[in-house]
Amino acid sequence: MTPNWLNDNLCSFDEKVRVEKGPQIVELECSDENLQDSVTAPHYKVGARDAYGRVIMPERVEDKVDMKLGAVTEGGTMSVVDWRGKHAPHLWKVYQLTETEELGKDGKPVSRFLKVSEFQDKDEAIAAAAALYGEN
Amino acid sequence: MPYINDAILDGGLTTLASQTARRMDICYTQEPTTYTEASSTYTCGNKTGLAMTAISDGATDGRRVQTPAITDGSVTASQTAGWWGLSDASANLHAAGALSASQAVTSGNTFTLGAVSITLRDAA
Repeated sequence: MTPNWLNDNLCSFDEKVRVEKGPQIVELECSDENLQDSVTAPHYKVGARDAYGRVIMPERVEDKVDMKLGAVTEGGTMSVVDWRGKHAPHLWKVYQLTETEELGKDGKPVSRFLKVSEFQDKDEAIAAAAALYGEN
Repeated sequence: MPYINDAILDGGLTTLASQTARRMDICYTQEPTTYTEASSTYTCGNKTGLAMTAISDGATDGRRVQTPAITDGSVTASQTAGWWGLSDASANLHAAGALSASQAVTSGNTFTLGAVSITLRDAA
């Protein structure tokens, strides 16, 4: 089949498989240097949360903060979305529509696009997606 | 760089300003990195048909556009929401970020979310 490009970065194979370009999540030392806006996105700062929800340097925050998803202390490893591709290149991510164990309001299983693989090369990603679609 | 004219900053916000049919998802597990992740992989609720504001001054400096406050978003999965993702009708993820606090949500309920500002700050 001919894939349908929904925009410059997103390609759909009959809405069963998708390829979309996006940034990677990278791990960096939790430090003042790495929290500078020139290194990571501005929303990563003391008291805010990293890409997996862990509070960054809660020891420096006086107010009570929500740490249900954990915390990263100074010197630890924080995970951040590298939106500008400063640390790792954007990748072409291949997603497959997959039935999950969740049940929707109608009582039927919910389907979600789950990431299967990722590629730096666009053509390789499209080929992998086509193969995945062909297996369905 | 001491000065950037507002018109330059406004140019970067025109994609969003006064646009309708924007979609806001609340997400779980991780900050979404693509439209697919925001609207499918990690979504646990959404509100569609949002109309963005016109461009105005930022709260501190610079220029901004805002989403309207959401009072009747649909929760689609029972999860702990920690992030939001704003996208358009052409399947572009325009912006994403963390909620001020994570929140357990239950499928079938509604969610509320205050207005989200997308700001381009003045040069330092």
